[in-house]
Amino acid sequence: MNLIKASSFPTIGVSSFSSMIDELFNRSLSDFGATGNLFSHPSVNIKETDNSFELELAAPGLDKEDFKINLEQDVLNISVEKQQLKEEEDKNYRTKEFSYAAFKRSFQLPQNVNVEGINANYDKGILTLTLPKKEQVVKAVRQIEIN
Amino acid sequence: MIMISKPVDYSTRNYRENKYQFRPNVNVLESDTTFELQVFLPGWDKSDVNVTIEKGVLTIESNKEWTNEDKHLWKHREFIPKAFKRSFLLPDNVIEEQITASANNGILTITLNKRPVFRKEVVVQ
Repeated sequence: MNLIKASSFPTIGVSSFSSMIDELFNRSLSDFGATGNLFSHPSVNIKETDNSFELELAAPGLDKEDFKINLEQDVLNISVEKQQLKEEEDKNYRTKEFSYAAFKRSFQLPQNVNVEGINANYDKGILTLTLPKKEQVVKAVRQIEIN
Repeated sequence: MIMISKPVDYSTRNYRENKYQFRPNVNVLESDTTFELQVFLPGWDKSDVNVTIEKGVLTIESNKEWTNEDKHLWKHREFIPKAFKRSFLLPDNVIEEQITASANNGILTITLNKRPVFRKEVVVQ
């Protein structure tokens, strides 16, 4: 899985790690339009440790090659468009509670993310992105003499 | 007699009693010869999930304890895995002895073979 820097990619409804404006704003247009439906919106968990952010996207039934992850400025886009799965959807579904054949989610990254160090891994249906934080320059305490 | 033509969700009671807080999504597909249940279980190992059949009811459950030690680290959560139990009342034409299950990329697939439709032509002499 490669992290590609996109030149121009339309980003609709970007959610920010810090502000967490979510759901409604975070859905891409295709989720509402003809190609998608409200099921096609995988859940995301975000964890923060001292050294990194960890983003988990629950999208089972895919292959790691299906994910397109790119970065445009400070916006991280994760998308999937799987034609084969779309065709499969024409099969006779009697009950349908999920489908992730096509979706896109975008996140505005905090400024302290080291974008060069982002990596992704897909296991047991969960895409995990690790976003390391930039090393903070710790300002040494300087004692100011009182004259 | 009520005839059911597809696996019917039978787990309402478990959830009405608030015994389980997590309810995995399930797709049911039907072909001429099979039903296929796709259970959405990202993050689960197949060893954490039990599939049983009793008196025509198929039950998928997991009692895995998910630790919550790193609770303070979560900034945002949309997906919280928990123990669950979902049951389906199977149609009469499912061959119970031939039910198979497999897990791949976070989806548990249960295949139910249908009994072939009995056909006989009577030739008029």
